Amino acid sequence: MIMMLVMIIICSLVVIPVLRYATAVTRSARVQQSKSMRIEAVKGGLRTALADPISLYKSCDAAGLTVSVALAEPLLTTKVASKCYKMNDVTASDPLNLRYAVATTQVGAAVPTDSAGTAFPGSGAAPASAWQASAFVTPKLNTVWAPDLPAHGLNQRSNSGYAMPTGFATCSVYFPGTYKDPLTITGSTPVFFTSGIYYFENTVRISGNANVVVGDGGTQGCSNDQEAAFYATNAPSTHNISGLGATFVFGSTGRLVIDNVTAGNTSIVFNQRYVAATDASTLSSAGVSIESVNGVISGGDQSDLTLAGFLSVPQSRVGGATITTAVSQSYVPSTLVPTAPIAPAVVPTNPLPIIDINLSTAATVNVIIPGYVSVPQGLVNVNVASVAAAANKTIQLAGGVLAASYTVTDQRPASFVLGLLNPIIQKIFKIVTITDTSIGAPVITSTAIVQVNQNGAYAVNSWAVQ
Amino acid sequence: MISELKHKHRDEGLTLPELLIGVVVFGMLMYSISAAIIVIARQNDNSTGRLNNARSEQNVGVWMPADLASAQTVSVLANASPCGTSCPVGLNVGGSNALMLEWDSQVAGSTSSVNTHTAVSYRYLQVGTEWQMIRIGCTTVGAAAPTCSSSVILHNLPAPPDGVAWVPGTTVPYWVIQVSQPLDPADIGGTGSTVPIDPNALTKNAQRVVVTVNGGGDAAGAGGGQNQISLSAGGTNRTTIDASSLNGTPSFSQARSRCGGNIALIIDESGSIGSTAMASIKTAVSNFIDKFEGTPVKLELVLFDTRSSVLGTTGWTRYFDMLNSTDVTTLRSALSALRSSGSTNWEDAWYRLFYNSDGTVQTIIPDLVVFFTDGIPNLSRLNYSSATGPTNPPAALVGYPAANGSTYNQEAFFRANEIARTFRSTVKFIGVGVGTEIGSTSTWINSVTGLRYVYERGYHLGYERSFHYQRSFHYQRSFHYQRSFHYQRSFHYQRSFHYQLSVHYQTKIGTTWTSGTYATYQSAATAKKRILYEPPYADSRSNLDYWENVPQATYNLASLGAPATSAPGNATKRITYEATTGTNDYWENVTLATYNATATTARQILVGAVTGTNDFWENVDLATYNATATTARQTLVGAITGTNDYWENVTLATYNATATTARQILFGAVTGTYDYWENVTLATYNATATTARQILVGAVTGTYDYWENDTTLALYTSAATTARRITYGVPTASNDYWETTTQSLYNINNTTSDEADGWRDRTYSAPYDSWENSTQTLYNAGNTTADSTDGWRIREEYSEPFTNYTTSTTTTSNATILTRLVAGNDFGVPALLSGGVYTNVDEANMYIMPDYTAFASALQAVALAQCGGTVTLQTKVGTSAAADPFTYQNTVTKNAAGVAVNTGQNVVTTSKQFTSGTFDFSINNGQYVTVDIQPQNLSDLSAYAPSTWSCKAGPNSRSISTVDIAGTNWKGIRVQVAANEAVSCIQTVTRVNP
Repeated sequence: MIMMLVMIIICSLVVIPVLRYATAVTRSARVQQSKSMRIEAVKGGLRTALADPISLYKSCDAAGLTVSVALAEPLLTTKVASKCYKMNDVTASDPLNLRYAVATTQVGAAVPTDSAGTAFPGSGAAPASAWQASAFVTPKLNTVWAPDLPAHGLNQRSNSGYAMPTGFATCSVYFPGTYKDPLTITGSTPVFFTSGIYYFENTVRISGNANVVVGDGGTQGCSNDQEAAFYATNAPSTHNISGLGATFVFGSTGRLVIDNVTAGNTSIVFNQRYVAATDASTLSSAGVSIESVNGVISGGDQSDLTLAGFLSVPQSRVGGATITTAVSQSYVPSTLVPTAPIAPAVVPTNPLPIIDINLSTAATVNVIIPGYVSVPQGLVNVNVASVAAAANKTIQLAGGVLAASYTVTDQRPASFVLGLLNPIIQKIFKIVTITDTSIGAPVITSTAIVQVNQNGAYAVNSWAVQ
Repeated sequence: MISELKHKHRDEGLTLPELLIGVVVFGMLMYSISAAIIVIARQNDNSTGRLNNARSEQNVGVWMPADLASAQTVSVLANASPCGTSCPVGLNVGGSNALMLEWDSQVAGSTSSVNTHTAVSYRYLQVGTEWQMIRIGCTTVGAAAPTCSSSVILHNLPAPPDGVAWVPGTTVPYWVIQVSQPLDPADIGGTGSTVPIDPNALTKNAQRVVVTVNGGGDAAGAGGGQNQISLSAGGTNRTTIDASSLNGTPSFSQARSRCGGNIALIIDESGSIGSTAMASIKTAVSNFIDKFEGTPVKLELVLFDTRSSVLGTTGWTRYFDMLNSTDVTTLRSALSALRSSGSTNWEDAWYRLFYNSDGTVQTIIPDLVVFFTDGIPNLSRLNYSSATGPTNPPAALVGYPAANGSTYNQEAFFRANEIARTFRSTVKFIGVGVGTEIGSTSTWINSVTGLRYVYERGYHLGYERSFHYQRSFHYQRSFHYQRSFHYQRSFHYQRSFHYQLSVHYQTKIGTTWTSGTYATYQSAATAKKRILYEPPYADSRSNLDYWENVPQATYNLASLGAPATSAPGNATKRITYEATTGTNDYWENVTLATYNATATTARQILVGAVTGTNDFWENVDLATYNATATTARQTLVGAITGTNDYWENVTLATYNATATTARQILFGAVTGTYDYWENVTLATYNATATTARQILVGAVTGTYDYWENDTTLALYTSAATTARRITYGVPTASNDYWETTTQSLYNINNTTSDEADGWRDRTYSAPYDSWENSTQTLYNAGNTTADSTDGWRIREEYSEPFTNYTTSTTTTSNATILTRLVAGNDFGVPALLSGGVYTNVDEANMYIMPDYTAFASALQAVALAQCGGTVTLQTKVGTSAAADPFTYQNTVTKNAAGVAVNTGQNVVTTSKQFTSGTFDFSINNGQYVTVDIQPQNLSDLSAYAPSTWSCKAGPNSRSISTVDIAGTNWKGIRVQVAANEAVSCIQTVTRVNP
């Protein structure tokens, strides 16, 4: 009996610590496992949100500092909920370091009085070369931006475009390169210009039911760069796609004509042009939607455009690791330049506008050009034929405009921006993912501060999991 | 009793054996019990240690992994504090910091986001006799003081080891926590960083923290409750991006086989080839097609002689799909149509290849053009064209002769070359010239040899800055000093009057004449009545006195005789002011007062010459003035009246002498008389009519002074010193002048490599030991001599773009002419033939041969440069491409010796859109490799079942062996590929789960 009692005591002394140990370890493992699962689950909230940054950029725009927008949550066994707050907006340019929004180079030419942003005070001043003292190839505070040309693809392109095959949305796509034939887009088939540099030596006319998106980016076109390059029927092997968004360069007689003479609702939307800092050959096109090739060519030599006392524009250069002349890079200076007056009082002969918007019917026209327009020896024309024709019109040249002169009718489009809006292109979100209250403690929260660009770029500034 | 005694007896003690046994048993029992108690006691201690250990792991696990995952920076400084000098009152931040983790975030503020900073410190400290680890977490929002929380997470930690002097805030508790450097991503084995950490990067790779926990047992290591907990967490790439950054956007990449794309072969079928050679050509071209069969190449064959056509179609263009067996068959069959006739029109073939019939650029531009010809062109599209569109492009060429001879047309070459030049930079051209004509020469007309003049300007090293001579000038507008005046004519205020004589009206009664009333007189017969001119009666008969209006002459004669029946007699005369009667009315000038006092029927205003009495003047317009007799008009200077005011230009003196109410300044066109000018702004100048403005060079006045840049030295010199100056600035391309400066000033001020900033390091004067490119315009403006002694010269450069043409001729080989078209120069990259094999097919672009012996080899070499040593895969359901993606991997590649070799591209995918995928292999001539290819991602192919594999090399079947894929019924293949062949394999599958 004693022995039995002794043995029981001995066993108890052995078993109890073992049980305590086992219990502690088991509990510890369970807590650890639960916590690990929840940490990974809430991390999944951020990963899910960043799976489609462009959608995140749009969907979280309705959020505020304290007002959240619910986000899609990862489909996990551990239930979590995600939401975002908008902490800040970032504009394309530093508001304290803005370039001039609108400028003219032609002596006596005035900027439209209702232009957006700060107009170049030396617009139209004499002498003709005066404006050049304020011009720089990179945008700076209170200067006129006169960007260099980007390198462009020398591949000659057909004006027919390329169709997307069956299985894709109906779409006609164009690829960067050199276009020497007139390009007319009037049909109802949506058109997508893949990202890159387009060089036109003839008229590009957008009319009728044209629905055009230029370049990949925030505004979705009927295709995208990847699909177009790989799947467009007979797509060229050298597609020249670069960066995001597109830049139209007009040389020779090239110009952009937008009208609604023919029936139909017309839309052309440029996506902002972005270029990787490492892409030196096209870096000068960053932020530029439309450019002209400037100067004159004579006998194979390119020189500045000089109309004494009237208009003086330096010849275009091509940026990159080595600065070269435009002619040497197969650019031809635009011939759409005004004729100098014989005497100062004589009205100059206006050329065909490089950007020529003619609105003559009540049909809807949507022209969104968020990037810079630099046509310092050309004319920008916005013509609204009547009060009725002004209705249903959205014309935005919102990235700033440099032109020799403007002709804008007193009758403005219903929505009209000529100047620099300095749009928001980056938003800073706080994305919070928290374990669902229904699963109890421990409650794990993931809080991440992320920058999301309009073009889909993003960066995680901080990420705290508690 | 006895039994009790017996029993008692037995209880009296133990026998020795019993005792011995008892002692032994008891000893054993006690030993066991003692050992058990000792073991239990010791195990309990260790169990407690392990329990502590487990509890510690749990506590550490609750906090630290999350903190690590959040951290941006790590500090192991013993004196680090999570709240710095602003710690909340009562917060115990004693001991030493073992690990501090910090990170930033943002929270909502009232109007904008507010930065927050979180710092978590794991601290080792002694509380009583126990050593603990506490976690202090502090959050700082904006500029506010931090708020902190503290909790104990570990108890019973080991005390500082022997020999370690514990000084809180100084001694690093390395025996409790060890913190490693951030793990480098490349440090797979965790043996330590092999790559220096970028100190500027915000990147936090995994933080590795080792926590040593002593549970209190006395056994060594884990068995005693001493344990090391290794935690690592994080790996988040924290960074910031610019708003225009592309970071994170979908990257664009492209990986394609060298085999594929659009290829065009231009075939000469002119009459000079002949039927025999044409048979060789057919064979060679057929082999060429064979090499591409089953590859992702689309092939177009353009034929030309006098005009061009496309083989296999009557349309303008057609690329045949070499993956499509029907296309291959059609194209091969069409070769029978090749024949030899006609002339040689290079241009029409090149035009058809790149342009539509209407002259617009074709949608499909080939990636490679192989141009075969046996001769040089003698026709162009100006002579014969297969297109409906214009002969442009190319644009009309200046300076080209129309034609010369039947065997060679220089213009035809240049027109073809213009097309080739347009596409040469983006399309690979390969020329194949065959035959005796290619080996002969032609007279290259240098008059149409393109050249361009290079205009150069000489200089020598020297530092200069630009300046301009300037003259001051004024924008002016003309004006006039004026005074007002009036055109006038004279007039008179008049009243009417009559010269009258006294009369009596008489009638004859009998023979007596008796005065009577006028009525009686009126009623009497003419013979019995008369008027008698005599004085009035002035008596009782005065009622019979009458007065008659008479002419002034009659009036003047009155009272000259007796009464008479004819005037004037001795009648009394008088003048009577009264209304006009229509007879013998007279008017006299009167004053305005008299005029006004006169009845309106007896007055008038009469314009007329001045009389010297009672003359008056009225303002009239110029026309009236001119219509007025000169004696009755005048001009009168005077203040404006509002009516018929006129102004005349006067001198400044006259203007000043004129009353202010009668003068003005008027801006207007110059008149030649008393014109004056005033300085105005440019805006006013522009707003002024051209006839009323001028630009006047003159001394500065302080008002509206302008300076012109474009002043020559001569004009500058001729200007007054008060009207000229010199300014330094950037050149304006007009009347720029440069002066010598020093290198130091140049170095300080120069900002550009050229002279655009107004500083340059070259002096354009003798000695001209260096030359730079200039423009024709500048050359024309600066050149003064026929040689280069003036620092200007022209060189001829025979390179594009052509602007001029020379006039000499050169005997040039036809092969060179072909090379100029294909390569854009006289050399190209000749193909090197060695042992019947072309050895530089990757680079060669010119295949020149005297006959057709090696023609087939040349075309084959061209084809193999594209697709030799490749394996193209297709996946088909029946005869159609499988709709879903099939991925294939080249799992093994072995050379002829059976040695595995590395291959770059080892995965391809077939799909509905891309029906083929091609593996490229680098294989030396004459060698082959054996390739294993297996389908991948088989779990995605549940809708399909494998059927068969088949391979071909050109039109010929290629034997293969299948390779089983373990656990599935899918099979891979093993196939040989040689350097000189393109293998095409098809996996046929069936759809099992539609």
